[in-house]
Amino acid sequence: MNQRTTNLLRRRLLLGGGSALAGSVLGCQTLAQTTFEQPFVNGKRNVVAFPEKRPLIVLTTRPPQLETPFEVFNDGIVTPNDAFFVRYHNAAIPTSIDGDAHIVKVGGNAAGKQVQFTVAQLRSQFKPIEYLAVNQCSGNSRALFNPRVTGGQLGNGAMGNARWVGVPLKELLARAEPKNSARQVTFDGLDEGVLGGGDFVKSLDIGHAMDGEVMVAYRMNDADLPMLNGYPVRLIVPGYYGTYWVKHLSSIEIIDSVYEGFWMKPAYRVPDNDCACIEPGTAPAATRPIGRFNVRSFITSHRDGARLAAGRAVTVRGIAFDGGQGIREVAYSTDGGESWREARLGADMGRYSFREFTFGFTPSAGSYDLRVRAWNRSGQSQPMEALWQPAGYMRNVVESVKVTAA
Amino acid sequence: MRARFIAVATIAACALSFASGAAVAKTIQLPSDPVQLKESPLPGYAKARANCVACHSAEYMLYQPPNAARPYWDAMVKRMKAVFKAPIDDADMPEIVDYLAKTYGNEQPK
Repeated sequence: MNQRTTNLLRRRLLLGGGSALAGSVLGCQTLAQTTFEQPFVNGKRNVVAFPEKRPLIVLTTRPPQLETPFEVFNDGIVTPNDAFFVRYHNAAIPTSIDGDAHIVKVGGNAAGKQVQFTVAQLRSQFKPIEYLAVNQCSGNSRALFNPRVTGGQLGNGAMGNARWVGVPLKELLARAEPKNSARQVTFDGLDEGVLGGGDFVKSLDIGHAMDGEVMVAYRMNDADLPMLNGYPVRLIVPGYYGTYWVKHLSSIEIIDSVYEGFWMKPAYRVPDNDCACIEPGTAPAATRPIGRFNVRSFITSHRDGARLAAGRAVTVRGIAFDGGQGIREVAYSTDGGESWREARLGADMGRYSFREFTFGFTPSAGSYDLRVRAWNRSGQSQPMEALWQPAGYMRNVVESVKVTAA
Repeated sequence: MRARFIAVATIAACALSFASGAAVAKTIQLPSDPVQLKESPLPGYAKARANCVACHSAEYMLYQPPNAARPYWDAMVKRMKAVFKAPIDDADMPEIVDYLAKTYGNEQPK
């Protein structure tokens, strides 16, 4: 029995039996309208179960932009597919795709050949690679900027960690025989602008695209990708912001120039300096395309405002990640950053994955300001005071979780 | 292309998988918009209804921070025409921007 048949059978079992039709209905349910209050002004959001998703925080319905409820990150370091965040830019998104027959074309003016592969061929003709990698929206946490900036008003839930399986992009590019003139590679998916403008196309430098790690993924956490996460194949650019992780990938072009479409310029750019930051209210002198994640860490076991029992030991847990160096150390403070100790790191699941950390403390009656701060293997860390930039990307301040023991 | 998203209005969110010979298609149905543009006596309201929500839900406006100022709304309306090909008459732009700034931006009545 092949994997596809197994999946279909499993789907029917989930439904409690077969169907008279030659098809099955997945997760068809009436929308229960509940709401969630984000911790910022104008933060009331609907919570809705979209197809193949559990109820998630809705930033926008059309196109779908869905945020993961933060408590999910305390359930484990792998984010389940049905809880994984969703971000689209255009509303003409595919709603029905044949996942085996879907074609990925590879060509461009710096390719020696134009070639194409069905997803079935990607699965059968190439040796797969796999790794855990965090995907994070460039604008994750944008609504926490002070002063506030315009754009998608996200809390901290536009991130997730999954196990990806697919074909190294390098192998597909090699089949198209890149010329010496190749400078960049562009990526386009099936999602389109409703009126034909603003097609979401991204680019990577040729050296990055050929690094052997960038992947065309057809599995996510041992399952097909959910439609809203890019079924049947998406680009995985480990360590880089999600803007490069093109969904429903359909066309790859090797080009002899630097691509400057809207989504590379002027969109998705950061101040071209070491901190990617400027003084609030000013404009950057120069910009560059957003790139790797900076270092972040979060307490996941306790939310701001939590109440603890005085005199009873508690274990605080959380996650840390960076742009691919790997996490070397996480320090914690229970007094708002006055004093710091080292947290215990969990298993190393790869340098692109969330890394778990834990620490214990026994509170006396009173208030505690819990903070965590991570360092990666290059010594990069997180600022104690939030940095600012006009697009609201790359927030990575040391977060504060205030708890009370009584 | 337009029909593709208008046709998805439904009260249910579903995902279907059809088996037909060897081919397997995954099919989903998306929920309809939960919010509409805020009603207003301003002349830009009708023009915003005609021009903005064909391509995206009104949550894009509703959830902007309260400090969203007129230059932001002006830049967005211009971007929707220049980049996304929204068929907005240049003559209608000031009224649309006025409606957005006064309804969703920092010019809302306190």
